[in-house]
Amino acid sequence: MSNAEKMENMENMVVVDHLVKHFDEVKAVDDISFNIKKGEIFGLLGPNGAGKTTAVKLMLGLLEANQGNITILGLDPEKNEVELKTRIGYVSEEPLIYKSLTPKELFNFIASIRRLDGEKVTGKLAQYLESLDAIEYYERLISTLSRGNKQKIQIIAAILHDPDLLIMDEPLAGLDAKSVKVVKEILELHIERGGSVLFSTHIMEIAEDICDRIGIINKGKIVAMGTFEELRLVAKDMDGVMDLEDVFLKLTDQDESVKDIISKLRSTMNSHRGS
Amino acid sequence: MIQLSNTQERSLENKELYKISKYSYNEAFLESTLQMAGSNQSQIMEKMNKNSKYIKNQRIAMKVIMSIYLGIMILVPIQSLRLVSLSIGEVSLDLLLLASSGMIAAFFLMQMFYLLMFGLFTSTGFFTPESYKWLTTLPIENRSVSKIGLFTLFRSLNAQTIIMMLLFPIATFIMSLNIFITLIALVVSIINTGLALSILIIFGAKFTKVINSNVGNNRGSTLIRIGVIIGYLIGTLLATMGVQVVTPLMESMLASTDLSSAAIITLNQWLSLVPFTLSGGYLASMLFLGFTNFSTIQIGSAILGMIIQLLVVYWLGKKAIATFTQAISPDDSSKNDGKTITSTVEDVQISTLGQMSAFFKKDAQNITRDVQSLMFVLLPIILPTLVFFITSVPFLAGEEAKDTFGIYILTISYLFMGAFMLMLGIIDIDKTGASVSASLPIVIREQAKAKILWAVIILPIANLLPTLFYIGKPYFLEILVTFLIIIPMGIIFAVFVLELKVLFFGKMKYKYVLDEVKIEHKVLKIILMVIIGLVITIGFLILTGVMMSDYSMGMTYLVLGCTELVLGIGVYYLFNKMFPKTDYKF
Ligand SMILES: Nc1ncnc2c1ncn2[C@@H]1O[C@H](COP(=O)(O)OP(=O)(O)O)[C@@H](O)[C@H]1O
Ligand SMILES: [Mg+2]
Repeated sequence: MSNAEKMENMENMVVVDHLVKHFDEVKAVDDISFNIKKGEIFGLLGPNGAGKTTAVKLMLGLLEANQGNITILGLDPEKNEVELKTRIGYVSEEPLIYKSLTPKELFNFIASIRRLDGEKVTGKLAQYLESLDAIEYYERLISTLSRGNKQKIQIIAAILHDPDLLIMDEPLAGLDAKSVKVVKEILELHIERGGSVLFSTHIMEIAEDICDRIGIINKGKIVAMGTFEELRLVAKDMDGVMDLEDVFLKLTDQDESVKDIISKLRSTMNSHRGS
Repeated sequence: MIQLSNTQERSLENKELYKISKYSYNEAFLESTLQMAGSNQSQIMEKMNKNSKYIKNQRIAMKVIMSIYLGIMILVPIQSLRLVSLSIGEVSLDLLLLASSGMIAAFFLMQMFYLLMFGLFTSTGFFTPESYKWLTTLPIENRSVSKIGLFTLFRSLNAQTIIMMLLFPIATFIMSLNIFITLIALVVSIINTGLALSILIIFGAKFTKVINSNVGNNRGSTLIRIGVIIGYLIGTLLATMGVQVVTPLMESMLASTDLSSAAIITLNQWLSLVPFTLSGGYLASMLFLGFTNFSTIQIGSAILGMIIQLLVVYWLGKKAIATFTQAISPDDSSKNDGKTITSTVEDVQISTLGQMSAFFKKDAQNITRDVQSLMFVLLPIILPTLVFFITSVPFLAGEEAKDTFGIYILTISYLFMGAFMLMLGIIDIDKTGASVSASLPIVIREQAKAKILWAVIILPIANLLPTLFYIGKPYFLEILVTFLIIIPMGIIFAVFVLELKVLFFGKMKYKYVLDEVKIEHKVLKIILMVIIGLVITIGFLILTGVMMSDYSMGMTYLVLGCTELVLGIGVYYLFNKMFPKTDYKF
């Protein structure tokens, strides 16, 4: 590796290189490559089933890739799993967070596994819980909490140890407007501290609102990548009539079906009105 | 315009409601399947996409297993009736009536306990508002929602209930070949089943409420919960076993009795008034033995008993429906227990432990709140204790069991079975936390050690508790020493089961994990694990058997100890290979 390359890798918190993962015949992730730089929020934007969650799980070493390489913080997630996980935080799509525990017990468990300093982390945890209005149910069973409240617990669990990289899979699902604001604030602070974020979502507005740069993913392939400015330029080039939303739908093969659905919807609504 | 609105709630027919209940049933079943799947949710979903019948097949498979299990019970009434018909002419009809009714009543009771034992744990999910919450978003009356709930519950128990209902009439038909008697037997059976179901519902609703009570960290409520579950398990198991004693008891009574015939007649008249389950037993027995052979008073009191029972069923049935409706109504959870905790900043105080201790503590917290995991931990203790209790009590065991060899076979079998169940149950706990554990820097070795710690704690208790029943017997010391000697083998076996499970399900490129990451051929792998477990158990049984019959106790202990040492080194070596010490420091 040349010195220049090394330098570049230092700056890249994440390097994903020609990654492939298939389940039987399904190519869930089909040759994707991207980098995430220090201080950057990178978005993976794509419809349901596009391969976002699979990509995220590959990055965490939870699944084994068929081909390709991943380097995170200079480490291989499959080989250096333990070390890597001390430095990343993960918010998964499904909040499977020990439903028979209370948040209190969960955080004690997490702090123990991460070998955090109990005293130091107590103040920080209280702060997070308070700002997300989560302190009230600190000692209730997680199974009794709503989806949104579980999500808050999961988010706090992911940032408690000040990770260098946050990997978030549809993290805003189920959150109320105020909590979304708080989470955005938290992300901002995280970036200011020099952290990076991988942020997966299927909603374009959210991606536009939060991410510095996105990769649009469809059927396991990244079909476009860049900042929103760059993507808007692409949109202009395409027939000139499209806004970003249309580009997203077109790139992910959703435009035809959306038009179809909308026209069907209109006709059924109209026939109801008529009767 | 969308036509349906809340003001136009329709009153739906029962038939329609029953159809709707299919969805809530599927929903609840799917929910529990997914919950069990943990980190494999996506795979299960994928399977369902590929094979839309996947969930249906699973459901049917479960029903078939339950049905076979219950169906075997038909041997009990057949055996009873056969015994009765063999004794006709040998003893007085009144004595025969007493014995026959006693046995049939015992069978009905046994059925009820089976339903309580198996029905409750498979259907606790149906007793909570959560399973029906989505229905309240539809324009359906509250009354209809509770009906749907009942239908849903019925769907989860239908095959079992119908089989239960048919066992006795079929047995009667086989033994009597008389349609009329069979019909009466069917009526008696239906009434009994109604009663059993009502009791199950009332019990289930109350039970679920205790188990699911909101208070998470209250030590008192945790103890209550554990107490309830242990009490329930012991109660139903003891009851089932106790009832099984009735048949041999009646047999011996037929062989010889000191009771005068007048006393027997009076006893019969009084007992046949007892609605559940004796009067049904009397009615069926009298028909079987010939109605004309008995006095009007005797027939009358049995019929009166049945009428009383009908009233009781009616009353209990209404109560069951009311209890159930209340249990699944959404606003019930708020008044569930008025003491939901609201915490403040002062409550936030983190204190940390090492990884192994943290895992162990978390598992312990989990076990006290989750019925299934608790069963995995308690059954290895309760089962052998109960069995040894029964075999060591002269009254229950018939004549006193002096056969120490039989005792060792029993304890080794239970120890190995317990170790197997315990490890699989304890490993499974982490499924519900899959997304948290996926992100944590877990040293798998520490996690595995925490699981093994459970075996180290539970198995000695499970193996030593039964020795209490032999205190004061001449061979007590021998039993104690032997039981102590085989404990390490149980723990070694438990470690091996963990290793086997991980080898089958958790092999990744650079490491082994306790999660199930390789779920292909799951059923096959599980069957293979059971077979390997059985082979090892039988091997150890044969070794022990050969040693004990051909050599002295001292020699036996020596050989067993050496075997344990060798196998222990083996599993330790494998453990180190699979879960190497990490040099990474935090
Ligand atoms: N464990 C699995 N086994 C089989 N197929 C899977 C598995 N996980 C995901 N898939 C398939 O891979 C594709 C991508 O899924 P996923 O990564 O979850 O998409 P997204 O998160 O973008 O919605 C889908 O077609 C999905 O059905
Ligand atoms: Mg996803």
